Amino acid sequence: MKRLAFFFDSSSCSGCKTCQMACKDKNDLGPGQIWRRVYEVTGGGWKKQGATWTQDVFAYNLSMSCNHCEDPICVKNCPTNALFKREDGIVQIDQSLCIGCKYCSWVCPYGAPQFNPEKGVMGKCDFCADYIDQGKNPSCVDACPMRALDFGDHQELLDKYGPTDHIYPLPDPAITQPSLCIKAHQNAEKPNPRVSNIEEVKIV
Amino acid sequence: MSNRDWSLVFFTTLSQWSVGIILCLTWPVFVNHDSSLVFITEPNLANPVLLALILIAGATVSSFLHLGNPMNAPKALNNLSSSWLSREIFTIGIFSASLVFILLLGWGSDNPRFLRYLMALSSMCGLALLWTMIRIYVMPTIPAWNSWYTPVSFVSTALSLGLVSLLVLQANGLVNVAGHIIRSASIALATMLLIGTGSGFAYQSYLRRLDPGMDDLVFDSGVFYRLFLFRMALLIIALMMIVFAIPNASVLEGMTGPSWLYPLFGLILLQELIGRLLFYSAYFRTGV
Repeated sequence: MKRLAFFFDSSSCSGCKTCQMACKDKNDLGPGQIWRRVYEVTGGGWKKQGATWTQDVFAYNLSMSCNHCEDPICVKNCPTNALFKREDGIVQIDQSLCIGCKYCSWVCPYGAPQFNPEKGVMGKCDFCADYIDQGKNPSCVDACPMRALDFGDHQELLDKYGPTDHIYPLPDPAITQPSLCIKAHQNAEKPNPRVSNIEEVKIV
Repeated sequence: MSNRDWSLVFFTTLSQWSVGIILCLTWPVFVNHDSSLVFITEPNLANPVLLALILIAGATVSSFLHLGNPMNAPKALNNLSSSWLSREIFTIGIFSASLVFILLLGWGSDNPRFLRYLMALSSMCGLALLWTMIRIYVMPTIPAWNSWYTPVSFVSTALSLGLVSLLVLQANGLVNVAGHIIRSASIALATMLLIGTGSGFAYQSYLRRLDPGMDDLVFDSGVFYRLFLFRMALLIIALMMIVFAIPNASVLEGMTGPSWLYPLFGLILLQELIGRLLFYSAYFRTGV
């Protein structure tokens, strides 16, 4: 069984949010619904080393959508089976079955399922499944001017780009086994950075 | 919290209250003599089982207010194989059905053994409902809920409200339970309130250590902390009231009138609602 995955190069991303806008445009998403989101993680400050003061200010971007997890916690917990996994690993939602209980959005550590108040049901990134079926690329991948996004079979992406990095603020990948490969920005390698814009990174 | 989350506060509290009533009625039915079954067999609108049924029905209506698309609600049973939410809906159904059976088969029945089994069956359905509710919230991606406190608080809600309901029902003559059982129920209620107080403080300490690092989710100051302190004060007052009443049999059995039980009941219900509100307010997830 194929396992489609996204690749994200954090070291190349400029944070322009073109992927975010391409996704909103393709899926006709209203305000508040952002199936692909770009987080800017910033932090650091001054620190004294002996008699001198140095700074460790950092900033990097993280483009995040549904990671079409190998063990999707949303699919497992959806009471209506509205969320399901296709043969190629894409996690999709059948909105005609959804009751809008929002439980999937509670449990997903990537904030992927989002409530659509107009329809009263959940929506999420579907990997542009219609494009995939036509042999095209997902809209976010094609839109990225920095070529920081790619997609393909998970193993092929690992072979192509090397082992994936676990960067802040992503959760422990063991929880859901996300189909995601990341090349970390040099500043993103710190496990617990002193983040100054936590309100942008963590959304309740 | 959004207004819609209030529906979950009421849904979980009312349904656990309903389970608590049945558990606390089943206890004297098994331990006590047959006269404690009078509440089932008399066709009375003030029947405690009917009260439990009304509570679970109210909880179900409240849960619908949380749904974005309630018309699809019957489909919530589609994923019994892996979704605890589906299983919860199922157990609500069987628990409610068991209450309807008790009411239909119990009224006018002269077979106490059969009624005992019905009550035991209903209690088991109630325990299954409690278990599924607990499993919904114990999730590895939600640190504030993925703790010992979730099962402790859910069971504590059911038993505290169930026990105080038993005292109120007895004082109003709606059940006929032996004095020693009422005394045991009072001691059990005091124990539950003590557990509620202790676990409340311990959970607050647990939340403080989690430190989600978000300005709008601070556990040791602001509205959250003030509500926590208010709830603890209510719990301690309720605990003192019941501890004072335990040595006094006439007060305990409502012989001096049930009036003191109403403020106690009000305090317990209010602190449970506030506790549940705090529980939902503590939500944050790992990751982004």
